[in-house]
Amino acid sequence: MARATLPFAYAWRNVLARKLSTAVTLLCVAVSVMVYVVMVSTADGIERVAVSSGDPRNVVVLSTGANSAESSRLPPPSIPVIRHFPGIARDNSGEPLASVELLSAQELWRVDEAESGEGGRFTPIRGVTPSAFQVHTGSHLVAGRLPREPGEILVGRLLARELGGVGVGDSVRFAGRVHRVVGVFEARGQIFESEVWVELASLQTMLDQRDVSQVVIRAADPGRLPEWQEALSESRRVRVDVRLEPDYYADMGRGSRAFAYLGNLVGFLLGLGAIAAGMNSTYAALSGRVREMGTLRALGFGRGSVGAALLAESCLIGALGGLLGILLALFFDGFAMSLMGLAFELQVRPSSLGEGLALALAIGLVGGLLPARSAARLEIVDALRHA
Amino acid sequence: MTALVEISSLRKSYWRGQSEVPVLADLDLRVERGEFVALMGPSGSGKSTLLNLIAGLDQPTEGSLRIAGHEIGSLSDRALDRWRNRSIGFVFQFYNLVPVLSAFENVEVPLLLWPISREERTGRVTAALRVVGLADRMEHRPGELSGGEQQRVAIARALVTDPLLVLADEPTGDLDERNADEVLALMRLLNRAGGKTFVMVTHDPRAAAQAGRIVRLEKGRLVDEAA
Ligand SMILES: Nc1ncnc2c1ncn2[C@@H]1O[C@H](COP(=O)(O)OP(=O)(O)OP(=O)(O)O)[C@@H](O)[C@H]1O
Ligand SMILES: [Mg+2]
Repeated sequence: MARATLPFAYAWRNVLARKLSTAVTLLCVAVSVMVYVVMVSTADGIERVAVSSGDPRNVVVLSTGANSAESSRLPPPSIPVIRHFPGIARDNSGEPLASVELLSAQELWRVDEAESGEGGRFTPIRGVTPSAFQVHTGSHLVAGRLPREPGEILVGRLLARELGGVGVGDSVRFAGRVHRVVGVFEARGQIFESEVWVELASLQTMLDQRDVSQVVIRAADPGRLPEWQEALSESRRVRVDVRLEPDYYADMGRGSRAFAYLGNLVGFLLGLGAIAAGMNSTYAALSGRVREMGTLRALGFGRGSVGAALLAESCLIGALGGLLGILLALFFDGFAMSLMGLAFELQVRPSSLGEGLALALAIGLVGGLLPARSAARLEIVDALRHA
Repeated sequence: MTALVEISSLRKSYWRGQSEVPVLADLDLRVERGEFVALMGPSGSGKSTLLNLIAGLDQPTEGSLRIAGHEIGSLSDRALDRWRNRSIGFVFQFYNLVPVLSAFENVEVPLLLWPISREERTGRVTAALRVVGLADRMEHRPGELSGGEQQRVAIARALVTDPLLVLADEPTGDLDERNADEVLALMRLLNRAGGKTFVMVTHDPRAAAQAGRIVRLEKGRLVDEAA
C-alpha cells in the first residue's frame, strides 16, 4: 500500500480548477512546442528540397575554385569544350545533353506591389537554353510555353505559389524592368521550382555579361561517373571544378541543419520560460493546498504520494500544452516559405511531433519537480495548521 | 485488558532556535475502548499538540504512547502513515475535504490505500454516507454542501475505515448551533450505538457535555478529570 497514488481524476480536476494559471502555462508550453516543431520542420523542408534536387547522372561544371554557381564564371570559349567533352550523353538528335546556365539572384516584386518598393523577394534567376528541360530530369512546363523574346519568363511552381498564385499572363518586376510570365514549370520538388527561368541570352544582355555560371552535363555512362568527373577536372583544355549534381545540392541543404540547431536552441529557451511558468503555477497550486496535502498525509498517503500528485498535475498540463502545440504546428505542414531565395514547403514529420511532445513532457516534469519536492517535505502538523 | 490509549510521562517540546519551548510536560492519560473523551483547556494549552501525538502526526520528545498495545512513538514515517490510515479517523475544525472531489470521492480517499475491490470500496463508502444521512448527496462537491453537511461527510470519511479511534479537533468550532448539535448527536450515536472511541478537543461546554469524560489541560499539564 503506501505506494498507492491518488486517482487521475484528482490531478485532472485540480488542473481544471485553476483555470487561469493552467491556461497560461498551457499556452507557454504550446508556444514552445509549436516554435520548436516549426523550426525543425523548416529545416526538414529545406533539406527535402536539397536532397531531392539533382540527377545522379549529372555533373555540375564550375570555374575552378568556385564554391557555388554565384561565384563561378566560365568564359565563352570554355563552353564548347565542355559541351563536346568525350563521354557526354546525347539526345535523339545527337545534340550533347548540356545545360549552359547563368545564375543571378535578384530582388523580385509582383507588379501590383512594385510601387511600394519594399519587400522584394530575393529570387534566383536562371538563364537557360531549352536543353535545361532535358538535363534537369523531371522539369517540364505545366502551363504556357517557353520564352521567345526578352521580357518573357517562366516561374517555378513553388515560386508561383509563394507569389500568391502568379500565373501565365501575370507580370513581375526584377532587374529594373517588368517581365511577363509566359509559362509555369514543375521540377519534381527540386530546388528549381523556386526559381525564375529566362532565356540565357536575355539574361546575359540584362546583366551585360558574356560569361556563364555553370554547365550541367549528363554522363553517357553513369556507371563510370567518378572516372569521367576526374577526367574532366584534370582536362588541360579547360580549368574547371566538377561536382556530382546531387552532392552539390545536398551541400546546399546542409545549411538547413543550422536551422534545426536554431530550432533546438529556441525550443530550449522557450522551454525554460515555460518551465518557469509551470513551476510558478505549480507552486501557487501548492500554496493554496498545503492544508489539503496535510490532510491527505494524515489520512495515510505518504510523502511520495502527495509529491507525485502535484507532479502529475504539472505533467498533465505539460502534456496538454504539448498536444495543443503540435496541433498548432500541424497547421504549418506544407506551408510555402522562402528563405534566402529558396522556396520550399514546411515538412512536419511525425518524429518532430514526437520530439515536441517529449519537450512538453520534459517541461511539465522539470517544472513540477521542485514544487513536488516541497509538497513531499511538508510536515503534517505544520501543513494542517496552514491557513 | 489494556486501555486503548495509554500515555505515560509524555513530554513534547518545540525548539525555537536554541531555546526549548515545552508544550506538554509529564503527561499521563488513559482512554478506554468505547469512551468519548472531551479535551478542554485554554488556547495554547497543548490540546492540539496532544491530539496530534495520539494521531501519530507528530513524534513525542519523551515518554511512552501506546495505542492498542503498540508503542507508536517508535514507528517509522512510513509505518506511521500506514498505521494512521488503518487505525485513526480524523475530524477537523474546517472539515478539510478535498474541494475537487465529490462527497463520495472524499469518503473514498482513505480506502484508495486499501487492497480492496472497487465494489467493496463503493459498498463501504455508501454505507458510511448512509450512516451520516448523506446518501442522497454523494455526487455533491464540498462547495455545494452546508458546513454541517461537510462535517458529516468528514465524519463519514473518518468512519469508512472502521478505525480504532476517532480524533476530532474542535469539530463544531466552525458550525452554528443547530449544525453543531447535529454533528455532536451523530458522534454521540456512533459512540453509544456503534461503540466507537472518540477523543474530541473542544472549547464549547455544550459539546463537552456530550462526552462521557472531560479532561482538562492547562499549560501542558492535566489539571483534573471530571466524570
Ligand atoms: N510547530 C510548532 N512550533 C513551535 N511551537 C508550537 C508548534 N506547534 C504548537 N506550538 C506551540 O505549542 C503550544 C500549544 O499549541 P496547541 O496548538 O497544542 O494549543 P491548543 O491547546 O490546541 O490551542 P487552541 O485552543 O488555540 O487550538 C502553543 O503555545 C503553540 O504556540
Ligand atoms: Mg488547537
